[in-house]
Amino acid sequence: MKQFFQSKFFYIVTVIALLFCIVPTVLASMGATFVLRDAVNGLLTPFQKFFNYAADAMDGFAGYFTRFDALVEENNQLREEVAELKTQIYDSTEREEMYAWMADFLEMKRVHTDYKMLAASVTGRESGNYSKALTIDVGSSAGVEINMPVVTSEGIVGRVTEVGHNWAKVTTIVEPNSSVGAYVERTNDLGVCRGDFSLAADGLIRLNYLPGDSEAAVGDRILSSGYGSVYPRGLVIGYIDSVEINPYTRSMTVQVKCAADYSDLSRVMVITDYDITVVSAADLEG
Amino acid sequence: MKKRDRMLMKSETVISEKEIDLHRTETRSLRQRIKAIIDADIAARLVVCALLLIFFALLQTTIFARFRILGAIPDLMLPLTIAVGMTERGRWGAIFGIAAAFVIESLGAATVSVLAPLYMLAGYLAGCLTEELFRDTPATRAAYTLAACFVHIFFTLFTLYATVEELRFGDAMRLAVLPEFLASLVFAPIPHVIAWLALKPFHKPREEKVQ
Repeated sequence: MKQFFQSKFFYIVTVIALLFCIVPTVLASMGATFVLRDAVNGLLTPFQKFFNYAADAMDGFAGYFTRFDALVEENNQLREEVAELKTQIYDSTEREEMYAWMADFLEMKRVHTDYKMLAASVTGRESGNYSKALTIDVGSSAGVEINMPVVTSEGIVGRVTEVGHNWAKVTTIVEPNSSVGAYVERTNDLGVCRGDFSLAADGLIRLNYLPGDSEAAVGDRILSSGYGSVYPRGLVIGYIDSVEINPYTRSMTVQVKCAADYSDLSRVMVITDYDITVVSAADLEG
Repeated sequence: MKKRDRMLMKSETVISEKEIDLHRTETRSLRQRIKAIIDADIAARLVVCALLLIFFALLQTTIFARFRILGAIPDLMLPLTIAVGMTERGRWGAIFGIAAAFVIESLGAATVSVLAPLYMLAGYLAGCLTEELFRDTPATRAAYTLAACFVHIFFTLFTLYATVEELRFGDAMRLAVLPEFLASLVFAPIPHVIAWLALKPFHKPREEKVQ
């Protein structure tokens, strides 16, 4: 056994293994991309797309068994509708989904005219169980840069944290340690949304620093406040899921259900540019 | 009489030298054939190992990441590294381990890279132990995988504590570490079986290959 660890080969591979730990970690902490990592991602991203199509197909197939009753009912309703209206369905499901997504995209462009957006497909997800991150199929060649916000028509997804030639990594807002300046739409109370490891699996985040006398209630919509340099003001973060008030300190513990469904994301938009509006607390109250 | 003897001896010497030359030529040709087979064999093994690595990395980061069966993404690369190490021996296992760790951490959004030493050691030790101490059986494969997944727990905990602030040990174990451990063990037979099937053709007896 001892001789296994005394060979020249073992020393060399140990050094190489340590280098493969240290170099990517240091470069990632500096916000730079390791050339080899860029190459691996660039090479495998098209294949990841293909595997994602396979996952979509499997998801549909699995759904046939897990949602059987609901599907039977839906199927009956559809049969009735077909009989009554005597219409034909021309578009495939995927095409309809694409139209719906395009409509949402256009609606968002109409509301936020200052946004310059770039459509992207989700090609990969996290490899471990300690982060909630996504890989998208656009990168520096399409003008994507670090810290650009990533959204869907439902709300904020996260921000770009790593960029390659034809791919980018998106760290979601449910990721522990990520934070977004936020306010409660109904009461205009300011706070900060933060990811929490124990809530991330359920798509929940915490809303901290609300004033003690806030009247925030379950169901209230939470929007981005525009504080900080990443997210523009007015993007939907989510809806208040629960509010607990400590009877002794009067401090509030608020959990927010994120508007974007991370488990089922396939298309997103990267906001590549927007007009920065300086917002003060007085503006918000006014 | 003496002259006849000398003539006879001379002719025998000529014949034996010719035979030796012939034998040498045959040996050289056989050696060249074996060398060509070994070169082609190594190249083919490299291609198969690379394809296995890419296939399982994509599987882990797309389909298994989507469905999260048993509540976590199983680590398929660790059993795959052990399988390659056991089939192809320690050196291959170690190099494959480093490559596997790098690819999976590149495809996933890993901000802290820690897996290379774990995979390298798993592949290297699995190969060396199979070569020197224990035979390659399903039981030894299961034992190595269980041991490696157990060590993986500490790597996951280290990564969690390095990347997440205010982490509670209970949450880490309940939400990430234990589901990952169980999922990795449950799905470990897949890489083992596929790697065994893919690399099995390279382990035929030499005579069979030469033929």
